[in-house]
Amino acid sequence: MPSKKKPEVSTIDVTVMVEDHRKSDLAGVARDLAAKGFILGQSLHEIGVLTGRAPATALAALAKVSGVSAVEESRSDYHTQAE
Amino acid sequence: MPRTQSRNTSPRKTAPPTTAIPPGTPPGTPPAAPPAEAMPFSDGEFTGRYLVLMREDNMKAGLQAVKDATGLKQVCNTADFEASAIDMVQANDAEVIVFDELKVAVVNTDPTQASGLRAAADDNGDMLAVEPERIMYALAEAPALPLEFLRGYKEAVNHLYAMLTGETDGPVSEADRLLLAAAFADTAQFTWGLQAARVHESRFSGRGIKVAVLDTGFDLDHPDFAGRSVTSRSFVAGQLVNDENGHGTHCIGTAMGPQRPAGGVRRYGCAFGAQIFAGKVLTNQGSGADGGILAGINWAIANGCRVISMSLGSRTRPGETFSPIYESVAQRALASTPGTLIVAAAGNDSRIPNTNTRLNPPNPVGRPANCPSILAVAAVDSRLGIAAFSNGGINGQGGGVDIAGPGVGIFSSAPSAPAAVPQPPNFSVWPDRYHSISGTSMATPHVAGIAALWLEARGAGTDARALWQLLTSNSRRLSLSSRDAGAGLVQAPL
Repeated sequence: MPSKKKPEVSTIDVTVMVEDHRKSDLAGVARDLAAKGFILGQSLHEIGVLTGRAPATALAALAKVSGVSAVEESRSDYHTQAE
Repeated sequence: MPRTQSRNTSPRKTAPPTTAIPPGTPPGTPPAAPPAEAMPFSDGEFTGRYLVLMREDNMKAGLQAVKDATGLKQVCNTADFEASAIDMVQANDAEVIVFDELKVAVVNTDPTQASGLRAAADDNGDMLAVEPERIMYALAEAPALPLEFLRGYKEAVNHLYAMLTGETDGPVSEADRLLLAAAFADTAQFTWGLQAARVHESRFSGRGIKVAVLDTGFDLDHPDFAGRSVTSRSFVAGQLVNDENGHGTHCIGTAMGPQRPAGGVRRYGCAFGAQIFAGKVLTNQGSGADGGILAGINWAIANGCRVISMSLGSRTRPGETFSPIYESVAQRALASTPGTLIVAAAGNDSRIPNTNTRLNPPNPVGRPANCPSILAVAAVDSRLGIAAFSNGGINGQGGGVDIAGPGVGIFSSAPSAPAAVPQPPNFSVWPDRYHSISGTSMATPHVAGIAALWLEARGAGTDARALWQLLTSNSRRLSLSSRDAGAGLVQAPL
């Protein structure tokens, strides 16, 4: 009998901006985000930004997490600007 | 038919160019040119005749009043013609033309008679109004005057003014006179860009200032940078900071190249005394993502960099707004003390493909340069015209161009042998050690390096907001729109 595979949730790259007053507790905000499906990549302490991955459907919920001021799907289409 | 009566006192003034087509003219016939004896109209916009509006219920009395006031007798009345279609040839010969249905008389009179007419109209209730007949023109688009023509005209007027008034520090500065002369050009000593930005006259080097260039990395072995303070880090997974593209090395060269390049070539760098922070956020193929770019920004700020130069961008659509995250990062950096100024390329999406022509309107400033708190840099060429590829500030809400820098045919450092691997978009092979390329990528590090010169000039305590103001207020205003060039061409402190 073939084993049943768990359905994989597809995720996208996400950038999260943390509010000024929570900047010193990035780890705490990251934990709260994880509960909503966020998989932490980088903690950028100087600028108060978390990068990682999450299901596209989770973005709205991530934005509502306490201490979060903005959530964006990350873009990867930057290029050098020389001809 | 009304008797033709010619007047010998003054030449007949004929109808304006948009003359009615005479009855019987075949359709499609172009209107006849005004007769050869037509005189120019003295007032420019008036025919010299007068329109008189008469009372609706008593035209006859009104017409009589006109004749009494002017002494004119010869009347041509539309009522006398078939279907009221007055014959314009006959009408032109009449002294008074009456448009019966409109209760309007057109009076061909001289100024003396006209004032009599006006006086009579004031007294006489049968004439309701008197006004001069105007020339009316069909509205057509005026041919656009090329900007070059207007600039040349402006410079010529300024020059003449200066000559006549003896003012040499007035409207025509020495720098402006250069505009009348040849364009800038690379010399044996300096690139044209350094001359245009007056870097070659600056006594500053950016000593003590940390400047980060977030790009494709850096050729750490380039001979022109031996002995310089260089801190480098890669934020690209699986790639070392060593630049195998060329772009990063070129930009760092423009921002911070040496005062006397080792190869004996012309100077190409602005802040030869600044401390170099080379962050690789773009792959060797020249592309990048938010994660790496933000990590690079984070690293630069954490290391005390006062200026971050980003010759990178993502294309935006008309009407697109800026990223709240980049804006928030940049705003915090600006507001900090002493803070960090982030400078980014406006982008190169505005050339009409395969031409030397710029789209009109241009494409909008790219991301993240379109953030209000990021200094967006456009590119000009050696004639200080806007580069064909340079994006413009067509999106509101912060998506404007803030300043311009030299960006066409820019000579700077390239990875030394072995030369960089050919990269998109051109896949051209770069020469050993130096190369000339174009882009808003090249304009951006001019601004970043010059920012470091300003920080040295005014003191490292100058905060990032003040530095922004120094750059824009000291820029050289060009005869280009602020949509295209922001405050103007960046200038170094002397």
